[in-house]
Amino acid sequence: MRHYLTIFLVCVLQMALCSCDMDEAEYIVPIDLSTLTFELHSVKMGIYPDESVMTDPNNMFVEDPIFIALGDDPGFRWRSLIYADDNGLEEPQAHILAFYCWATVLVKEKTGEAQFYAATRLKAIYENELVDEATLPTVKQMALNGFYAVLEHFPDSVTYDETGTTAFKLSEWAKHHIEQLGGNPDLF
Amino acid sequence: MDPATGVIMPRFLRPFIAVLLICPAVSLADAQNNPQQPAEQPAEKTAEQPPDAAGDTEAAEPTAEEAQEQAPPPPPGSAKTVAVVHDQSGYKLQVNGRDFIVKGMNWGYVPIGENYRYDLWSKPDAFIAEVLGRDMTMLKEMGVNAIRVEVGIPAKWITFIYQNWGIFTSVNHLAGRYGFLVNGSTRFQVDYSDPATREAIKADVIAMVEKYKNTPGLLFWLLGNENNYHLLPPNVSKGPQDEATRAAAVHLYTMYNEIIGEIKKRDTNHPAVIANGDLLYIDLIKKHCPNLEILGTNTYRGVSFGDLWLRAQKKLGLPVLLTEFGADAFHAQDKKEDHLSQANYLRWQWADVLEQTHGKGNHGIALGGFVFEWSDGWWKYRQILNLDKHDPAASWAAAGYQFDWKDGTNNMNEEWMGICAKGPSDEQGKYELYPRTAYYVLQEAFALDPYAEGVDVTAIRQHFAKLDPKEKGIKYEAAMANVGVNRLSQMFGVGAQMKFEMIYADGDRSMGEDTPEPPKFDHMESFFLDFEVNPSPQLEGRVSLNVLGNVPTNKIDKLFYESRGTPIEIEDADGNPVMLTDNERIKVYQSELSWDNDYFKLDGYYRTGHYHWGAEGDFFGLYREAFYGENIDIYNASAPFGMVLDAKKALKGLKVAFGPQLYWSANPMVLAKYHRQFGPFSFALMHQEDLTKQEASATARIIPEPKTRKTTLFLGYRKGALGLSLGGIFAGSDKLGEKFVAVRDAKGTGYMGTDYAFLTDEIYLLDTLGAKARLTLDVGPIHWYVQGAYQGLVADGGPDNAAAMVPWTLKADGRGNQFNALTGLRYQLNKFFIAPNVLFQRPLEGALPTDERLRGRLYNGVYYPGIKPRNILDDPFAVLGNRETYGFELVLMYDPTPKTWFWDWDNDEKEDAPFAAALDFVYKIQPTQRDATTAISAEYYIFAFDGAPPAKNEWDGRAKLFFNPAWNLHIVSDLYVGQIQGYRPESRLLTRYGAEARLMWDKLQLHAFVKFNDFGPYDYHRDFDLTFPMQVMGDLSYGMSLPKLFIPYTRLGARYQMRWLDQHSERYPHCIDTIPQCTVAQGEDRLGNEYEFVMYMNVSF
Repeated sequence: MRHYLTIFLVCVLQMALCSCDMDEAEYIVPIDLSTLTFELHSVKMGIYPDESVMTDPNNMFVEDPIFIALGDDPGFRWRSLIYADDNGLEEPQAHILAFYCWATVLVKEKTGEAQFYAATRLKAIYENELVDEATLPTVKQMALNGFYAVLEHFPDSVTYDETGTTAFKLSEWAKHHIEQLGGNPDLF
Repeated sequence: MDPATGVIMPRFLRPFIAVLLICPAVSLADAQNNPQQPAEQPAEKTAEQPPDAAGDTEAAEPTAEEAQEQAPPPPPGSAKTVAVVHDQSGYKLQVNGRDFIVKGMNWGYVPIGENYRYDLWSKPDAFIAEVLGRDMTMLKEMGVNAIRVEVGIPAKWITFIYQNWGIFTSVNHLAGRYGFLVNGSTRFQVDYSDPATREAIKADVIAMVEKYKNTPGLLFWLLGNENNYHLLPPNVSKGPQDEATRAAAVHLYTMYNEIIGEIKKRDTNHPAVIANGDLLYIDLIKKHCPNLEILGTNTYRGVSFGDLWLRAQKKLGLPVLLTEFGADAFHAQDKKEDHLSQANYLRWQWADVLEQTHGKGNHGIALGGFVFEWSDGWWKYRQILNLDKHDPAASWAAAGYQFDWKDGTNNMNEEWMGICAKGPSDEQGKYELYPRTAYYVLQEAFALDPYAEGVDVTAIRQHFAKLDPKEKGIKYEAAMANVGVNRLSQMFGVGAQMKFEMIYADGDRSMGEDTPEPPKFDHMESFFLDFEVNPSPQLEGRVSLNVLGNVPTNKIDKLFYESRGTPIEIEDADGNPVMLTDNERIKVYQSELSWDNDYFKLDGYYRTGHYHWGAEGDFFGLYREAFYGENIDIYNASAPFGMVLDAKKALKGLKVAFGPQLYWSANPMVLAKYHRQFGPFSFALMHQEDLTKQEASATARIIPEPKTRKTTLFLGYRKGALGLSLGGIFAGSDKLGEKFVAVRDAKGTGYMGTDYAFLTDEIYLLDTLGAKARLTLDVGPIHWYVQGAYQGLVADGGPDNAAAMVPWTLKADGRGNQFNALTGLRYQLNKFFIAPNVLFQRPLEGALPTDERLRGRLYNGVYYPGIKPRNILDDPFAVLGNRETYGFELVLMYDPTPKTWFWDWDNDEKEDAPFAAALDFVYKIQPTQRDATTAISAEYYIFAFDGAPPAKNEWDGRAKLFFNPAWNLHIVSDLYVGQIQGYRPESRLLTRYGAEARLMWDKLQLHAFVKFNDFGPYDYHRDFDLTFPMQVMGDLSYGMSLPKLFIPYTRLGARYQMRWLDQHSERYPHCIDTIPQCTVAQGEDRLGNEYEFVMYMNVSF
């Protein structure tokens, strides 16, 4: 009996010791976006079907329920948030924030619209040189791959104008951006 | 003899009549005309009889003392004197001066599907007379002259049996064998040393004597039934010879002695006999029960009674009456009926008895006996389960029955002890009897009068040597073949049900823009067919199929089992609409199988219920009870579905359950449990391993949870009045590292202008651990428990299945993320009891508040992350049933007939008290809200609400009432009132109330309800806060039999249902332009309605 009791107590102690290695919980606080930068976590992030953006520590939207804040249509919600006049974002940070927004929506919703806008934001990051010089080619290729993904996986997707009534076929616009980036619009 | 395993197995049924057939030479007319001097004299006394033996044939003259207290002479036609006569040739019983060998039968009447609660004597006189007419005639023809029956038989029926068939009755008072009411409280384990208990039992026996003593046809007073085998609880007694158990036996026999003394003061015409378990404690009987005149014993020793006679004569010196003896008719090794062996054992047992009667030169102490038993008891093995199954399980072992005994296994099959096999009952409760070979063998055996001239041991042996069971067996086998009953049968259909409905429905309502208006008139046909396979007694299976005819689309309750066949519109590859009309036309409704062999018992189930393992060490409720009633049909669920393997022999104690959905919403899993009992201690180790995640769900109340694994440990201790249970759980390790948001109070400095601060944290090892403890105490009329638990954030268990004498509503929620404490007690006072109960429960991490300010926003270049309400779909845990609660409950109950326990699952049908009632009031203080609940959308996808309703207190009061003004008039009613919230964030705090009643009068049944301001009948009504200002229903039906509540039966009926609609109701016709019934100006004050009228016919066989 004593032998078994000893084993039991040792196990309890071991479990307790393991549990001592607990990180402190972190308070949720507002995030200053004025210094937001684009970090290359993965060369496939923001490109369907990759989901690595969800493990990117720089992506503040991984756990964020922001998509429930502004209505049912995720695309509308994101646009309202990102393009709002009073959000105080400077253009470089707006591009980066918008990329993380659309890349997160792409993982959660898997829509052509999200892929298209994630790719346009990568293109904007490239064109505005928001990363270091060595990383620019990579970001350019990521943008191209994002537009190719629209053609391959979402060939029939559309987006709507401000009124929400006029639809535009995203594949045509994707081809346009592919051409601008020097890619092959007829690849798919 | 009850089994050593301690399973409650009364050897004779309650109520129970033992028939004692007087000697065939005495006709009934003779007994009536000349009770003192029968027409034919008994066998002449032989020369061996001493001269004073003649005097013993007359009743002994009472002493002066006895004469003063002598009872008045019995009425004519009765047994004036039943006396024991003793000389140097042994003992004899004499009735009215004539030698009388007891050729008795333990008699009872319990139809298949019923159990010890069945009361023949509550039925109409005509029914009882018919039953007795058939059975007593058969017994008389068999040669039986006495029956053994429990006290409860009305005296008039004792006389009826005696006057019509000449069969005597021995009335048996159980003397606390199965519990006794003492000072207003029921003691299930009787303590014979307790003065109050002894006085209570004694008083009850005296009342019995006063009631029956002058009854024509009375033979003996019988006391107890193997009370010496159950003196102490099995986990307390170390064996029959340990000091404490022998001490308890002394109290039993001293009590018997006192009782017999009291009997003798009141009645000297009928001896008192105790029904002892074999000869156990014969030395104590000798010492402490000097008033005893006849030792009765229930003895199962095999083909003979061995040294019973020698030991009884040597140690006690009294005559012996076998109050039970016999053999079962099932071969435990070959797993098949063996009526020939049964007959053979009874043949030689009776031969042994006769050889030990007076004047045979042996011990001369046998007075005869009561065969156990008249017909098979289909309820014996599990008492309350499988009552319509002739269970072949053997529950105890007796090595004397060599024909099917094997070392290490049981061979006594309790449900097969009948001299007669039993057929199914008709709608009135009458059944056929099929006399086995033993009937015919005993008929010839009883024909030999041991007291007749020339009947010595040689004559006895010659008589029995000629009795060949094989010859007699032909009659039984022919009878069984004629009725088509074959124990090795192939597949055969066993039942069918046909449902026909004509439905008219309409109303002032709106079906919605996309839903077409249903037809006003529609109809439904639904057929169920049951098949049973029974290739051997070890293996049986059943499947029930449902076949749909037309599926109506106009019912106002849209979800029902047959609605799975509702036509649905889909699109083909070209996008054209296609109507599917043949979906799920034929479906397996239920299925089950059972395989019982020497190494394990395997039970498989599909949509049939199963019990939990709470009494077997499953302290945290991992294996949940799965009885869902009609909900499983309404939501067309495929649960429960799985198998349970219960190991035997070396692995006894191991149980493994596995399957796609062991209980509703369970993930496909394997559950293994090992449980052992060591004296007062018990131990169980249990592990659950989910194999994958369940995808489907039909109702938001049953949402599958993520794949997980759980391990629990249980330690229990029970001794006397005290019970202690301890347990630990390790669960949710698959969630280690998962992130969650926690909330803290931050008055004035909170996040985004609220009073809260929020943190992100993750699941650690300690969050997967939990512990629980429970203490119970039973002292006299009080049963008290206290319980507490600490469960880590993800240490989720299941529902609390602790056995409770009161089914309180307030129970611990089994989820993790809480600590709780509960206590309650039940106090019984006669037929009343009062049971308060309190609950304290608090989550370790509280619910996240629902607040508009907590939605994420982007402002001035600063991002404010939003706080999403938790739910079980997206988060490692959620505060739901484990929300902060301070609960108070009070139950009051009045039940004058405790044999039908008020809260039995079928008590709505079985309660037999003229009036019984229970009140249950619950009040819950809930100062904080819960997390978001899940729901199922109209498109059948599961989602979580974006918040929870504000915290409110809830309360509920319910009354349940039973009335039985006549044997065929039964009324059940339920009344309720309370305040309750829905689940979506905008839910109101509703005050609702209503009443429901069923009246069953002979074959007529009326069922009705009325509800005010209450949710609709489905889960989604509460999910989406959908209520109706008023709902009414009335259903009147006439059946071919007495109404049944839990199984289908043939009946014709009509039902009317109506509900009024307001702006909180689904299908409310909101005032919009397309609804011509109202105008916008009328606003939302008007009420809509919907109603249906149904004519239906159910045919069931």
